[in-house]
Amino acid sequence: MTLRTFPATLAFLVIAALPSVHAQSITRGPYLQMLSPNAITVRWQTDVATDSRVQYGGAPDTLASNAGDGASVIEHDIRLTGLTPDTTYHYSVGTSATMLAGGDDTFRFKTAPLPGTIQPVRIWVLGDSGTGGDGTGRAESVRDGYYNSTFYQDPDFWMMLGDNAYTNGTEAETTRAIFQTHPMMLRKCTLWSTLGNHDTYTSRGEPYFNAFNLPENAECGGQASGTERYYSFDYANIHFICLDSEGNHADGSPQLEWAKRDLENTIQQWIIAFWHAPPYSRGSHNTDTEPGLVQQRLDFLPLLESHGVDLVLCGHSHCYERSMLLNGHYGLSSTFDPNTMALDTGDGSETGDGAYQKTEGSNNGTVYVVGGNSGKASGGSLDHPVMITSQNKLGSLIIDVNNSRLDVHEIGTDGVPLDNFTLLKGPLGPRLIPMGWYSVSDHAGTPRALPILDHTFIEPRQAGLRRVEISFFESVLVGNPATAVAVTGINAAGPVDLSSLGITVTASAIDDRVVVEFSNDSGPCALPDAAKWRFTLNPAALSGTSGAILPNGAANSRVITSLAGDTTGTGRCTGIDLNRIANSGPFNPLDADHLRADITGDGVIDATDRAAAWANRATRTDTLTQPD
Amino acid sequence: MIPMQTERVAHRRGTAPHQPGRAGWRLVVFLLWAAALAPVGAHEDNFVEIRQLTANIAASPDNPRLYLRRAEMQRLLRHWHAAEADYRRAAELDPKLALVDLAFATLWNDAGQPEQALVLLDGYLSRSPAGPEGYAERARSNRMLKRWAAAAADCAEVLKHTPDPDPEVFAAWAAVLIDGGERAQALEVLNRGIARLGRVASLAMKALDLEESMALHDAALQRIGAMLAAPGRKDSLLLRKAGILLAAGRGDEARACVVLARQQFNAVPEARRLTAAGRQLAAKIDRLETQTAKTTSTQNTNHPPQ
Ligand SMILES: [Fe+2]
Repeated sequence: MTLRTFPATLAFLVIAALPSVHAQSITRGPYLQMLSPNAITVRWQTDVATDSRVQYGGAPDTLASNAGDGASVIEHDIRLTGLTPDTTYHYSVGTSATMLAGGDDTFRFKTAPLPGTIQPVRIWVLGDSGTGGDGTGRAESVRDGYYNSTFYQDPDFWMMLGDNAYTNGTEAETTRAIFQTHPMMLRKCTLWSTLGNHDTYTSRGEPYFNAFNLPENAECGGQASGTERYYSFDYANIHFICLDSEGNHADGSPQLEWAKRDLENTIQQWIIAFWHAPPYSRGSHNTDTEPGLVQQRLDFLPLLESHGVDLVLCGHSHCYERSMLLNGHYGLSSTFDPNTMALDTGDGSETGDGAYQKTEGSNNGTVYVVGGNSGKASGGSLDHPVMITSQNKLGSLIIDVNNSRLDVHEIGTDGVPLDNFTLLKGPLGPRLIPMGWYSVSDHAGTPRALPILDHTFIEPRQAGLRRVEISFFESVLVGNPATAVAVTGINAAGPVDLSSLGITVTASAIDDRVVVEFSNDSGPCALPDAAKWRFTLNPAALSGTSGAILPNGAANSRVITSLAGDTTGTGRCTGIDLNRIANSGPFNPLDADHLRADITGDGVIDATDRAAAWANRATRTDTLTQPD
Repeated sequence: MIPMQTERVAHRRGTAPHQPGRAGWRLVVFLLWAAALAPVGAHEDNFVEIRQLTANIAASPDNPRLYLRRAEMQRLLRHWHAAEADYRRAAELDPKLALVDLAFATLWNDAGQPEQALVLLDGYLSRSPAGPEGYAERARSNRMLKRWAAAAADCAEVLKHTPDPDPEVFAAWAAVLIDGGERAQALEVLNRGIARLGRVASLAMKALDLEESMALHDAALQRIGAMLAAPGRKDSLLLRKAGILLAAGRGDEARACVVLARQQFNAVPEARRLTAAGRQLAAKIDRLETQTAKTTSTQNTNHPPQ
């Protein structure tokens, strides 16, 4: 990078004038960039120019490999290549003579899985977080809200949605708001970013482009853009496309030509697009009255929606706004017609109106999130009609993708979700309703009540719904499931009475599931289309062997349980992300797809990867060890 | 409306800041017009910064950079009149502050008055010849005036003064050349961009469009062959290739290429096929299949389909 050589040159001139040698110390980082299955870039900044060296290996004390550069610079930029996909490495940084940082477990990175890999993915997203270190504590409260929440786990990577350093994106503001606010996350998780307007206010974004390495030449997947202003990358089964709302996005512009080619090239299951200024908002910005935002909506959205982009993340407006499942709304908000421009007007929550489903013979429908609330909450009318929720609160987003399921949680400063929604996609088939993550702590076979059964679920519109399975995971159900399930429907005309349609509902227990099927005089049948169906479970009619149950909505890999006093039996835990169990020795993965594990001893499973997994044996505990 | 300007008016910014010349008065008219038309959204950050800058100006009333900065904030808020006043004050404090001319020139171009912009830009570039912005803005003026050669020369200067150019620099230059009827030169510029930046998708697709429009079938096939060799989906590229083969009179190869395109499309995961774009592609495959079924090769070649 041409720009990056400048500070080094400047530093050299300054140092050359100094009478004595200055001690080297790190002023930024180390931090991780351009994550791919086989490579990663390690960056750090020093107060004086030195050469660069990264040592890396499989454990903090065995950093057998190294890479470096003999040039004397203050912006150190080393690309490690030839790495193994989906593998954790530890590292240190320094000069050819001295290690300046590293050597403990916090200095680590995990390479990306190969494109198309299906495995749980966690992403943490901050928008307009540039108030970090400004003395108001806002960005810090958002950061700590996630760190202290029950949802916490190290993300696979994290993202900033622009306006990362208020007010002018200067070098000093960048250091303060990014590097001094997030030193721990930066050293272990790759940060991706998109350009915000404030990031351009100093020398057309020079400090921003100095700080970030972004793939111009398809180094991390996707198509080569030739610029760091917009780019794409792949991670597991997700394609990410970063657009530039601050540059030229007119029809025929290089940006749109590239985006079109990039989108028609991907075969990934999910596509997430992100950029700074949102297409829909009535927060501190209004997408009806700001001409640039009106035009940008017309430029970006038809292309993205035609390619089935699933989720759009933006910032700029300092609030949290989240849309319904949309398709084809490109005009002013006064032209929004939910009947023709929304594919699902529900809230997308499994505990509310039901998840959004992209399974009806098309992959249409996009959810738009405005998350410019990670450093400021600046109000606004907060009444855009496409939005399911609009909140003037600080927070950050977590995105969990697991195969055909994508969950989004907006986490407030108190660690409590402000919003949750789910997108599902895949072929039509038996519809599985998960009862949430929970685990078995008593596998002696003693039937016990299933306390979470007082729960209702609404299926979104789904064509040809013939069979529904309600899963209780590893429980063995007893009781009378035939009376445990009530099915009610609603369509535009009002409630749907199944008995008047001659449809009978049957429910039976098969292993750990209640299977619900429908029949009429001619035999098995489907539920009528164009209605939403609610399955209400009667807790009194069912019981089974089960145990400690996590709260509804608990994210995967948040399961913590213990087996009391039985070191020889075999029990099972569900909802455990095996990739994140620190000590997997006693666990024998049974079924990686469903994240089950055999437990052959008693102890504590800690879903965070840095805690001691087998501390506190034989003691029942639900304590989560907080990461740093 | 902005009055039409037919004469070239000397720029008098430095000499009479409070008494704008005719260009200045017309600008004031434009600014008032623009302010009346442009709705202002809430930009809380900009307001905060303007308040801060106003406080700083009160403490250092002779610092031209503070006025310039506040003018930029006012411009972002479309507070044209306030922006203009701050630009003028900055210029008054530092007559050498050439950026003011560039800012005004941008406004003139925005207003569809490129002749006015040119006057300012010539002056700006004589004092600040090292940066690309002035050349880019002058290229815009010249393009609006259909002075293609001058616009192309400015685009060349933009590249010369941009150490780390992005695709926009090459695309804008090529667009000026295409508008001026110089398609071969435009292709050269795009190829130069690809040589400099790598196989950038936007430039490669633009070059492919040009080659097709100029019936440079072999060059287009070579380019698309290289794109097909890269990882990723092949279906849309194969379809494009079939179209080029068909235009080149190589019907048999085109037909084989459509078959390959369909195979590739069918192998794409459902999530990517069941989209509006996917359905459009499938329809295109159908159309080209029908077209190629009716044709046979008019050229006898040994090119195998890829
Ligand atoms: Fe912004």
